[in-house]
Amino acid sequence: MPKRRRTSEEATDASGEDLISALPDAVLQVVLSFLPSDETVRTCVLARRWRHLWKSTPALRIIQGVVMYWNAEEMNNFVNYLLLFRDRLPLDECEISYTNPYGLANEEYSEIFRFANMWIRYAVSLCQAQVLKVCIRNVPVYLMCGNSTLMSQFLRRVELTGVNMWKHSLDFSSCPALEHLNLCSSAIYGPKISSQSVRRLSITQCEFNVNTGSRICISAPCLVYLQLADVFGTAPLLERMPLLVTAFIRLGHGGFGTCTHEAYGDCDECFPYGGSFNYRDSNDSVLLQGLSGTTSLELTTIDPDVFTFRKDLKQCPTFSMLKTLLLNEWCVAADFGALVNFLQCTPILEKLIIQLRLEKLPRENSMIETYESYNPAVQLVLKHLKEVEIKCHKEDEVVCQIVKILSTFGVLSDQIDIQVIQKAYVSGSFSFEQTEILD
Amino acid sequence: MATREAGKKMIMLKSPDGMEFEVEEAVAMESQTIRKMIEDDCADTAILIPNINSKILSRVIEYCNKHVPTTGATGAAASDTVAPAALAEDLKIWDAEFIKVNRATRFDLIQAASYLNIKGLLDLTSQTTIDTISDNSLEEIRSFLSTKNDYLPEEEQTIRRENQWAFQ
Repeated sequence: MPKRRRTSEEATDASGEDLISALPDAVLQVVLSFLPSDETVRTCVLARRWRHLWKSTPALRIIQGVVMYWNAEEMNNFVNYLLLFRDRLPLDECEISYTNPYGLANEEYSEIFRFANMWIRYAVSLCQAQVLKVCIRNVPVYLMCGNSTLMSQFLRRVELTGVNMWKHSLDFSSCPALEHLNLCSSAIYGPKISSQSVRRLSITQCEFNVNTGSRICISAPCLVYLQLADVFGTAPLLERMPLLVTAFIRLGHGGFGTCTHEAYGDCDECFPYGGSFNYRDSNDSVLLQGLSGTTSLELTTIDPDVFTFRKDLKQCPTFSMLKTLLLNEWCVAADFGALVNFLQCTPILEKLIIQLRLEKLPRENSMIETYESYNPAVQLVLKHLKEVEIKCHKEDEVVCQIVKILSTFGVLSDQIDIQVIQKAYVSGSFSFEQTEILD
Repeated sequence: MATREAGKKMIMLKSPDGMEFEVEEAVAMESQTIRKMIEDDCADTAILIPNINSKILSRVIEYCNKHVPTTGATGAAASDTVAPAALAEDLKIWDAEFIKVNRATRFDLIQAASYLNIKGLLDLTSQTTIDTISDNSLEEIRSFLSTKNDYLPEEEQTIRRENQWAFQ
């Protein structure tokens, strides 16, 4: 008798009635399609009715490391047989997942992922898969998502984790139905990520062009939601995104523009864009211009020395739709100029949240000197700004100065909620996402 | 049918056992089958939902009510403005409660979701069924599904040989 995962309710109605027989084949095949493909095939010996059902289930799930451990060769063998013998019917989903906690044997290095790109082509091009998920974890070999462009009228969602992507695989313009694109823990190399249709884009824990230092450009004019979290390497350039409503940007360490002269981008020698051959366009706005149409915006950096946003602000796009804004300590890292500049570009701002990890700010003394010299040039009153939250773990002079600055924008001190909270909470909490900062 | 009126447009759904359910059009349109009927103008009065009894239909409506995207003041779908992570988390918890039903009800829900073409509900009910059988031996799976093995022993051997590549 089965022991695991059986609830008492399951037991009471397991009285022998063959409930699953009542389901039509097509429905049963949908249910079966949630099993890893190897288990699906093995249902052929359950009973006569099941003999051929596996051949036309609408999903391909090549999942290593969950049910039984197959080495790379056995896995390749199984999948190649499966693709040969299954009916070539349209697929809802193709999922390839490798998790390898045991490490690879020597002979597996050449075998693993040997056919993976072919399987992806089979699923996407031949079988019209609507969803493609590839997830590689704990495998010391990269799956290169080839040099070939995905082409499909049917693909709606792509989720890639732990892969290496080169220039042609970053071109999704031949997938006109693609709406969701998630890239996670991947190495991305190329001049451009492009899709004319994608509405939601999430790039987390990825590195951009870390070897060359050149800047990648994100061209996705239909984007409504953008998440760039804990991204490393060279800051991507965001092209025009007129439909963008919500954006969550958290820049990672290194490469994103830390100034070796402790001048936060004011020294005219350090550029937030990596290699010096970007010198010619070093004054272009990289991120903020593309984000200027958002309603909700969260802009944070893990390292407050990263000055990409600050440098961008010199171009000062107007955030004419922005209602909710969250910033962290980067906006006061050098001086208060970045915060002041930002507030001058947000005419209809309603809610402002500032998260301060003050212990991350290295040069408090020099900062105090500079903020004393701050002199508001424009007396803009933010008449819609009704709610300000400052989250910190100690109320000190930086906080007092922010309150002073806000008063010049017409924000009264009783509209400002200063929340003194635990250190860990300040660094880990975000309003849109509850993701831990990787420090 | 597509005219925009002051209030929310309501649709009447009828189960074969004679019960009637008045639901918002947006909620009913979570079902691609009903959406098609409405868009094709076949839904002037009540829509009869064959083969789905009132008990199951009310659960299906409950599911659609929860999953219908709420519309913000700007007209943008909330899923575009609200944190997708928070929203998804909330729905996941709700789904887990919703699917705590006995097997017979779950299979009825699978059929209903399939007929009404409600992808989310079909995914949820299927995944829950699969979670109970995945990672078990074939004997255990047979027992779970109450499926009788009607193969002769030598027949079963032949099929195993035929698909030997999956049993390695």
